[in-house]
Amino acid sequence: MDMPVDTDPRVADEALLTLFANGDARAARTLTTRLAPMVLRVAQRMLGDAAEAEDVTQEAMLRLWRQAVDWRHGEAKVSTWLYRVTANLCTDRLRKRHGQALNDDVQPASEATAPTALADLQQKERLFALDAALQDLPDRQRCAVVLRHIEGLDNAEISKVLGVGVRAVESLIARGKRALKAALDGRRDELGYQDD
Amino acid sequence: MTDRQEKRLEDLFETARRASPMLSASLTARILADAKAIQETEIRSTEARKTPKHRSFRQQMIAVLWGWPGVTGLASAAAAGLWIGVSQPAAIEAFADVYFYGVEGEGGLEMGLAFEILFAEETS
Repeated sequence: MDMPVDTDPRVADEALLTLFANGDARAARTLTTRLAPMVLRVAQRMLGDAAEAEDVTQEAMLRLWRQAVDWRHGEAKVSTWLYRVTANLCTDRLRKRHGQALNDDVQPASEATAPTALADLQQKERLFALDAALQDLPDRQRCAVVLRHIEGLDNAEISKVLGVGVRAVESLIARGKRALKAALDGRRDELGYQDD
Repeated sequence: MTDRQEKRLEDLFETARRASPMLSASLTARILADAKAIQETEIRSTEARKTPKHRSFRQQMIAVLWGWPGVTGLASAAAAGLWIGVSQPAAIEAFADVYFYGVEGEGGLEMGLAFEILFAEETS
């Protein structure tokens, strides 16, 4: 039996968005299943607060629904557009939280992120350690590292998301990774990383 | 930066990649409620403004053809009028099928490019 087009994994996000704009409710469900976890992941790591991350996720998806009718096909990937909206929404919240302009060198306070469904306790502890170290990065370094090494975007896509050049992205990622390594190096024994 | 540090960091990134957060039922419901609201309000009102009600494709074509302000130039208009006047209805329909393609737009049917090329005002 043929799979309905709005649940077929081969159907592109853009096509689903067109279906949604034509009133297909199932397309909304499929897009939510595909894209909302990605938004939530980034928002959680950017904000370090589960409730705020959910708010950002809902707002980002709302903007996608509103954009559906005016979506220009072929201009941008839906996921890239959504990453950009998410990054901007998180930036706005972080600005309000910090009460100052975003700066690559600003060091925000560490905040715990919401746990995820990881069965292995050590894996959970490692994830918490990474999330805590990410929260200590300046906001744009954190965003660049998360998009590159957790979300898997290439530097060209990240440059579109952040609105900076590719070289700036490379610099943000390099500095972010250096800081992460330094932060996590002191915890290698507790995280179960014995040097071979 | 040592290879071991790089490897440990990559291992942590891999753990993070595998640990996708779960959308709560309440968040999913809120997102889908927003989608439904947008479909029922903003999308429907946009489509209602674009599409005149109770007009068939043929009726819209006739309205465009005889009410079209874009046929500029007396010669072009006269030529079109003469052709339409002497042609059999079937011929007009066949011509419309080939040269006119309807595009839903503001205020109803908009003329396709082929028609514009055919009746473009000659400039000299």
